Amino acid sequence: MTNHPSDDELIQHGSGDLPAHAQDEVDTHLRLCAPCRAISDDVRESLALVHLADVPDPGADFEDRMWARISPLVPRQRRLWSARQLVPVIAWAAVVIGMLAVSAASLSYRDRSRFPVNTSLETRSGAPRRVLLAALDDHFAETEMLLVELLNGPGTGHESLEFERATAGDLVASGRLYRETAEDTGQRQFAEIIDELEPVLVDVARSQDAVEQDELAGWRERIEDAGLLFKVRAATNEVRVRREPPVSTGKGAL
Amino acid sequence: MQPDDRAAVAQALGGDQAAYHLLVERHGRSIYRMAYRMTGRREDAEDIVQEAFVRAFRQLGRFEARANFGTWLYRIGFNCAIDYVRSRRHRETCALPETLERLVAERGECSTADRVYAGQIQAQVSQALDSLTVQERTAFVMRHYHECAIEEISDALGVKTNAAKHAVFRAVKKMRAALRPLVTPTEVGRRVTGT
Repeated sequence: MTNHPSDDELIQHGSGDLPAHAQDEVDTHLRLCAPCRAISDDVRESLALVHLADVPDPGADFEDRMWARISPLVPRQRRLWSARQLVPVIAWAAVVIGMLAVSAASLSYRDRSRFPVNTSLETRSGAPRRVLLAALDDHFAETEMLLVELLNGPGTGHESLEFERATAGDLVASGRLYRETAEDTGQRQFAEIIDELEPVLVDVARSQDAVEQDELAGWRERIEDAGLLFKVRAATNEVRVRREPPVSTGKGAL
Repeated sequence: MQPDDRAAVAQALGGDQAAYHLLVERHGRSIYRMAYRMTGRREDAEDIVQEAFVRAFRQLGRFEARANFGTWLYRIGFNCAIDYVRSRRHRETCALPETLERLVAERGECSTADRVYAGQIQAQVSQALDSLTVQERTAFVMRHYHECAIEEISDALGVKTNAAKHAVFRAVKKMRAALRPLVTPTEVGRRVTGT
């Protein structure tokens, strides 16, 4: 190598990301050229500094906090679901939640149907975006609840999943509307998550009255393998972050 | 005497909640550190820790007793973090160039004594990592903390190999610029402003 390697090449060399022959050429050059060696050392030292830094301490109560969050989602649920005497309670809860969900979905549908078509106006006003975020908050929360039900419900065969089936049907219908609006308002990541959820929800919605154990196991595997529950939780968090009012909005919307 | 990890896994599989609690206490922080590096946010890192342990619990039956629980869990946590980053990737807010420039300018005149403080290094590295985009940060952490191959990074980010390589490259470049005040002065100014 007769010319000096560029800074970019030296950085790539330091990260080991140059092709093998170029890596060798730079090695040779560095042995002969002190100024380039200085830059290379600088890159290496910068990277070494990164390894010296640890992450902020999560606090002395970290383990307790985490356990408080994890424990309700693991063994206790298993025991809860295996306790047959709780089934009537759960069924009543499901009916109440179902009624609330249907009300929320119909309200969201009405709100959605009023969305203006003009994308530029939507962007300017921000109102449809806020309505969408409010609707998505409910939508993802309901989806999360359904996924948790499917993952943790009994799996001993011939299950009647009438509530889950109805909820999945509602979620598919509302999800299609929200997906379209999400795309119109430039929030593609939500549209993608809804897309990812749809195949499983459609299968649940179209299932027979008595679901076989294998079928249920298949849904669970798909939910787990695709990390759907986690993605929905992340989406919910994201929706809530976006719903928070901005720190400074100037003189206000149009 | 507390059970080792394998015994704790066996007990947790039998429904012993305390045994799983013990595993959370033993391994929670290591997952947290990895997750924090990947996301740069405490709340996100804690979400990932939660998800990793919940996922691990569901897969506990598949854990092979001969394996190392910590390594197995770490891999699950790592996948959770990648899922998280993927789900956030469209939210990515490109770091404004002035952020880095300001950062360098503010720290430009560090004394030698200051540089030895680990706290300062930590703060600077955190700030530098925060200034990366989500994609750059993930690529950088995977490459330089976890020594992942470029192909693994491109898989994780859902981008082509070349784009993954460039994400690492851009990240190193930005990290170097941000950390320059902490690095021993050399002749690096020689061609910084042009080769």
